[in-house]
Amino acid sequence: MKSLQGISTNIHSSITGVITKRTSRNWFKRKDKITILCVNDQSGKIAHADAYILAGESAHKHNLDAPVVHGISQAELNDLNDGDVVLLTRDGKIKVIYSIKSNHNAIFATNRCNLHCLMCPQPSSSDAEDILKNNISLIGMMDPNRTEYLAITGGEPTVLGEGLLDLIQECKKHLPKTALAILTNGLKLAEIDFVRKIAGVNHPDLIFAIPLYSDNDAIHDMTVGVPGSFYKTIKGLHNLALFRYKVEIRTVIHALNNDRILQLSEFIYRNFPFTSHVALMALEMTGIAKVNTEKLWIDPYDYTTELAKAVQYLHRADMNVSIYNHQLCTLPSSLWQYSRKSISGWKNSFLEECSCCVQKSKCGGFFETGRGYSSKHIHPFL
Amino acid sequence: MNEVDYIILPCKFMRCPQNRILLVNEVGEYLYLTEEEFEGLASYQLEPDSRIYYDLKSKHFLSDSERSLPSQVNLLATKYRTKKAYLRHFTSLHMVVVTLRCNQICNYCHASSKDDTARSYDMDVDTAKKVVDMIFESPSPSIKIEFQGGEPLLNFTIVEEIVKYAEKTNKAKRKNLSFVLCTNLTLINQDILEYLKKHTVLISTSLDGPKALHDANRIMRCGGSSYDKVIDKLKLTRAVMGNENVSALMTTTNNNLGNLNQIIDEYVELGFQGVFLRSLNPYGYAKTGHNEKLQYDMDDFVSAYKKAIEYIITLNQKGAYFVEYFATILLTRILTPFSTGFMDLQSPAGVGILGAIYDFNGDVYPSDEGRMLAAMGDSHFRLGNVKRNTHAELFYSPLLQKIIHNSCVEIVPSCHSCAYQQFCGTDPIRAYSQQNDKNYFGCIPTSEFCKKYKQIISYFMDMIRENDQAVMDVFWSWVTRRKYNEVRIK
Repeated sequence: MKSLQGISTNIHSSITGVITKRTSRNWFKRKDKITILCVNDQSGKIAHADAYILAGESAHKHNLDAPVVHGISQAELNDLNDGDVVLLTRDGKIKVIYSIKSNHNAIFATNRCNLHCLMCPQPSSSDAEDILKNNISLIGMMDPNRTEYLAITGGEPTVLGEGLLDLIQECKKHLPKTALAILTNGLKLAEIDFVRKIAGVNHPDLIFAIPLYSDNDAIHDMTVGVPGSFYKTIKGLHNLALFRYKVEIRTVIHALNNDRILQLSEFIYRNFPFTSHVALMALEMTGIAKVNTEKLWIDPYDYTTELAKAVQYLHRADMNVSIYNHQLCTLPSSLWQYSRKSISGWKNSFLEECSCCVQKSKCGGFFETGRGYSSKHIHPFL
Repeated sequence: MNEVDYIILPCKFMRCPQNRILLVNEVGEYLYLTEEEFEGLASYQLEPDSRIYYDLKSKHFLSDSERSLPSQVNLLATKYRTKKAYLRHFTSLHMVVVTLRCNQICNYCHASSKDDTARSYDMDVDTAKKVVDMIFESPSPSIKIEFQGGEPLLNFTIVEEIVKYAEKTNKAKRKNLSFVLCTNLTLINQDILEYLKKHTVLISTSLDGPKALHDANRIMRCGGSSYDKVIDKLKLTRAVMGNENVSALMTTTNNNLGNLNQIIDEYVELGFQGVFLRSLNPYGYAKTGHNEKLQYDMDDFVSAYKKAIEYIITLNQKGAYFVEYFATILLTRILTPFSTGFMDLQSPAGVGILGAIYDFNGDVYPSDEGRMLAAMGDSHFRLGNVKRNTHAELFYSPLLQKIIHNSCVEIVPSCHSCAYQQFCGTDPIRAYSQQNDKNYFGCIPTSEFCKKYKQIISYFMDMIRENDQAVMDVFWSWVTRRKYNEVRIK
C-alpha cells in the first residue's frame, strides 16, 4: 500500500482515521469516525479533528495536543484525498489503507495462511490480537457511495473462521452497494457447513476468487506446498456452485505449470463451466517467490504460445478470460485485448526504456516489488 | 519393467485413422493416444510425470492414489449429472395432433394425412381439455405444447381452445409454458398471426428449398405451387411475428439430396439462421411402394450431409452466422460439458420421458413414430388414452418402463463397447419397427440408425482431431451461438 514518511508528535500508538480536508465545524461533530484533518501549515485556525497531518516543517505553531504527523511535502499532501483512510504510526509513517479514488481497495483480513505457496509474495505471519476489530472499524470508515469494489484478502481470510462472517456481515451492513470479492485458496470452502454459514449472511454481491495452478494434483500441490490441497480446493469450488456463488479462478503462471495452461483451461471449462472469470497471471517476484527463483522464474515471453492457446480455448468456449500482470511487449498483439492493467497503482511501475513507448498507457506494467525480474523481450513500441 | 501404480477408470476406446486410439469416458471427455501411449497405459508402464500421464489423469482416465479416487469420482459424478440433466424433470415436450386433415399431400409425409373434408379426424373440445389436463400432470417445470397435424390451421378453434385452457390451468400450476405451431403456413392470415403473437406461439414451418425442389415434394391437394404460397405467407408471418419467432425444417429425399447447397442458399437468403438436414423418415407415405423413388441409401445421405456441412462451414467463415442444428447438437455433446435436450438421439431414449404425442382421439404415444406404426396397423406403442387412463397408467406403464430400460447404450449389444456411445443414443421404436426386435435393442451392426450416426460422429471427431483452427472456430461459434468473427481471435 501507499506509504509516506513524516514526523510524528503525540502519537503513542497507531491511529486509523478518515482523511478530511474540510475545516467546517459540523463535519467534526460526527462521533462515529476518527477524523484526521489534513492541511498545510499556512492554514488559519484548525481544530476539532481527532488527529492532524500537516505539510511543511512546523507542527508547533498550532499548539496541538492531538496526534500530528508533519513534514510531508505539499505534493504528498495533495495526493491524500478527502475520504481516504490512513494509518498513522508512532514513527511518523502515513499508510493509506483505503483510497477513495482506487478501484482496488482491499482489507487484509489476516496475515496467517494454511498453505505454503512457492510464489507467495507475502509470507504469512501471526496476527495482532485486535486485527478483526480494526478491520471492522475500517469498513465503517469507507464511503458506501464511492466504494464500487472491495476485496477481502490476506493471508488466507478463511482461517478467521467465524471472523470472516463478521467481516462479510459488516460489509453488507455498511457497504450495501459494494461488490465484495473474497480472495481465498478455497481449502476451508471444502467444508460445506462453512459455505452454508457464509450463504447465511446473504450478502447481495459476493464473488470468490480462487487460485488453481494445474489440472493435476501433483503440480498444484507442489505449488502450494500442502499435499491434498488440489482436491480440497476443487471441492470448495463445487460447494460454491451449489450455493450459486460467482467464482473467479486465478492462476499464476510459473516454471512448473506453464506447459499445461491449455489443459488447465480445458479442465476449468469441463469441471467448472460456471466460472465467471479466469485470470491468467504473471509472477510477482517478491517475498518467498524471490527465494524460489530457481524453481519458479520463467520469462513470460517463453510461454506465450501456450498462453495464446489457453486464451483461445477459453474465448471460444465463451468463458470470460483476462491476462494479468503482463507487459504488452511480451504478448502477441492478438492477446492485447485480454491484457488488463491489473497491478494496483501504488505497486505499478515501468522501466526506463518504457518512457518512450507509445503503448505505455495500455500496458499492464511491472510490479515495483519485482524489480530485476523482467522479460528479456521488453522493448518500447515507437 | 515394473508396473506403475495406477488404475484405469471406465472408458471406451476405438482405433482411428493415422494410428490413433480414441478414448472416451462416461462423461464424454476424450483423448487421442498414439499406439505406443495406449500400450503404455494398458500395460501400466506410463511415466507418472509424462505429458500423456497428466492428460489422462486430468480427464479422469486414470487414478493413481486411493486417497484422491473419491474426489475424482465426485468430479465424474458432477459431470455425469450435468450431461444427463435432460432427465431431471421428465416429459416437457407435448405434441398434440389437433387434426389429421391436411391441405397438402407431400410425397414424404410421415403423418399419413387425411383430406380436407374428413372432419372425423379432428380433435374435439372434450378430448383437447383432457389432453391439457394430462400434460399438466407432468412433473416437469417446463411445458412446451407443440401443435401438429395434419395441418393444425384446419382445426384452429381447437388450437385456440388448448391455448386458452392451458393458460388458465397454468395460473395455478405456474410452469414455464410455451407453444409451437407446426404449420405449412399456406392457410395463415393476419388475424391468426395477431392471435399467435398475443399468446407467444412460435411457428415452425417446412421449407425444402428453391421452388422446383420444394414443389416436387410438397404438393397442394388442390394443385398449384405450394412454394409461392409459403414464401408469400412467410413474409406476412415475419412482418407480424418478427424474424426470430419463425423457424423452418427440411426433409432430404432422393430428389434433393444432390442439391443441398441450393436449399442452404435458399435458407440463408430468406434470413434463417440455420437448417436441420433431416434424413427421410421410414414411416407413413414415404414407406409405401409408390414413393420408393424418394428413398436413398444411408451412405448417400451421409456423403451428401458431409458435403453440405463443408459448404455451411465455408459460409460461416465468409461471415454469415448459419448453423446446421444436428451438427450443433453433436458438437455440444463432444466439446462442452453440457446436456442437449434432443429427443431423437438420447440414452436412455427420449421417447415418453422427454416428449410424448397425443393423437386427435386422445390416444397417447411415446413418440410420433409410435403413432405412425399404429396408423399403419400396429398399435404396440399406444400407451393408452387421456380419457380412460391416469398419468401413472400412461407414463409409468410396464411398456414405457421396458422401452426406457432397454434403450440405454450401455446395455445395447454393440453400443455397449462403442467409443461414441456418450455422443450417441438409441431409437427403440425404430429397432422394433425396422428390425422386428421385441426387446427394442435392434441389431446394431446392420441397422441404418448406426450406419448414419456412427459415420456422422466419426466425421466430426476426425475434424476435431485434425484441429484446423478456422474449422474449430466455426464449430465453437455454433456451440456458443456466436458469430464466427466473435469467436475467432484476430
